[in-house]
Amino acid sequence: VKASGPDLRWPDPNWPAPGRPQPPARPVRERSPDASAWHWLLWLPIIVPLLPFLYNRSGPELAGLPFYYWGQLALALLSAGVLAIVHMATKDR
Amino acid sequence: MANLADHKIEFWMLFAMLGLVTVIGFAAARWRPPQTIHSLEEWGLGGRAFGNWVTFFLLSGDLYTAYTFVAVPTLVFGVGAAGFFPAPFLVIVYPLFFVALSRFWSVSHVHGFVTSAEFVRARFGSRALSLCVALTGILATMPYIALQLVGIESVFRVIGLPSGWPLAVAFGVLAMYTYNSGLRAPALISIVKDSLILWTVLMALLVVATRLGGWSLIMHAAQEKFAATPTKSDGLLLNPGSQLNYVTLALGSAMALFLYPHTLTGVLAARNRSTLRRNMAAMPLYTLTLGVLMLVGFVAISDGVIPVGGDHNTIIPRWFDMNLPGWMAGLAFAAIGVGAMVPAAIMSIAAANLFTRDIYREYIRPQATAHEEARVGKIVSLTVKLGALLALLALNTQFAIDLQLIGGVLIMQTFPAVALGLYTRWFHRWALIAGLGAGLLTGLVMLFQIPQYGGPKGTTVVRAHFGGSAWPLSHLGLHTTSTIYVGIVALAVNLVLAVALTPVLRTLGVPDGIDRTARTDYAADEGDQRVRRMTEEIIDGAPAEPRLEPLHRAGDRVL
Repeated sequence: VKASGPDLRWPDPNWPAPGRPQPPARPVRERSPDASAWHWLLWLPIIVPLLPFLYNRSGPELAGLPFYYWGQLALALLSAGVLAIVHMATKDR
Repeated sequence: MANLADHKIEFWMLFAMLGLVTVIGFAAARWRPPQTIHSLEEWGLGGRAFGNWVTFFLLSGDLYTAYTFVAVPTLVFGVGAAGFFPAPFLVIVYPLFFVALSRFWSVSHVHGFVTSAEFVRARFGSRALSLCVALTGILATMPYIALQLVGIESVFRVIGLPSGWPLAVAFGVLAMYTYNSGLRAPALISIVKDSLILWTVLMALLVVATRLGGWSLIMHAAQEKFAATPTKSDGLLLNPGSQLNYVTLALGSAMALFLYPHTLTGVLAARNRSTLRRNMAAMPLYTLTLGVLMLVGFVAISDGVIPVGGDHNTIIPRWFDMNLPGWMAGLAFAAIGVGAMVPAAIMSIAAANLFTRDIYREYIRPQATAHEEARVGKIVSLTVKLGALLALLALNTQFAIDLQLIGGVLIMQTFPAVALGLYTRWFHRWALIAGLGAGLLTGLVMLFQIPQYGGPKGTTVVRAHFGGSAWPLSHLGLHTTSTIYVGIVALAVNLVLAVALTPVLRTLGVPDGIDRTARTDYAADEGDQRVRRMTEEIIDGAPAEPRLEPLHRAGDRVL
């Protein structure tokens, strides 16, 4: 039941359009159809590259290359790996 | 030093490769020929039919531009650690793409959208917001096209070609085959580009690996160079004051890349969701090739590379020139040259799509046929490239670089409408427009405040305005040497305003737009029973009744 005055709740419960006739008896779906718990794993390759204190150091060196450089490039492998896992886990839905 | 007579082999190698690419570009029109190429979805999106491999080549050719390959190692050459930001940027961008762009792909597939502005129009029911997004996209893309020319020009300079007509010829040919074949041309050419880039990267690794002393000697030389300069912003590691800028620049660049029209064009050309997602998982590996080229910036320091004619963008081509035999250096030059053509073609197509679908068809000729759309798109793609060429020749390179700097900040301001719009329709359309305007203004003012330093001590003001994107926090009265990326601050202003104004506008009773997308549209896939094209419905004006019946029938597989 709607309270008087404009509805400011978020996320907007009056999906798909406020103030319009609602679609008849449609199952209420809280989550988006493509949502998946696996997607939480994707925060890993997003957050880690944004924390410079983790990699802003020169050792250990790899073939003379400071950690700062090879460590950040290794994050590309991490990102590819995590994405591959999430893709495999979610593709058959 | 830059003498054409000494670079005959390099010149002919480059010439041969550009010739090959031209033939492929024209022949691409006959590749998987559609019934008619005279529609914007065929010309401007390759019929939305690219599979796994083509999508990989197209996206990698699109996102890793020649300017990146030239300018980023130059930055590393100049400042060291702070110039390495594309590494985190091109790592975090793919998880973002993986989730959000598959939603964008799905909703565009269902409704036949070719541009992000079309999506915004359908999602928020606002032609004005859509126009703002389209104009921002076109404005941000044009200097990016000009920068691809800067990439080609750096190679021409090293070979000793005069500036001017060779660039015009190369770009003229590119313009013609793009006109002819549309997105199919860069898609096929990107295969050549990726092969050349891979070859170049392997050669660079080989040169360094066979060298006495390896990386430790190279890094030592770089360390000495940075220690000798009085400025504190360079070095082999990040200084405490530049960490915030490093992180915000990486994050901001990732958001901007998400929103650039050429990215979205490449994404929409994929055949299905799975193709797109699989490619997003593979794409971070391509960052490694850029990583190697960034490290070449250090090698160039230890080799004492002197830029040709004072143009710092020639450092990488010049290094290849010094270290590889003629024909191999020619291939490396071709990698940069072809690498410039692929994104330039896609960018001009993306700008043309935006103009055609969101300005021409929306405001000039709503009854335009598919055939007419394709024709307008082709002409606009020519115009845009010509404009970029003239801007570069008549004005100067620095101007293009400044505009690109601004363009990145501008395109970020469409984040709430386009990216957040994929998840929520909560925002009020006018709040989004106000936020966009405020973000653009904030970004421009902040960039205007940033001077460029230079001179022997690195403390002399070379130019008073638009000298970079690192905004000192001391402007806010904070006692710190920290800087922050302008785009992030502008986006914060944009978001705060959009969030604050939305409830105000609803309280005032300003009507919301009608959302023409359904929740399930965002997970639709190729061959889905529910998918039907609603292009006409959306573009030919508002239907009388909003769609009320559920899009899926009972028993349908719900994704």
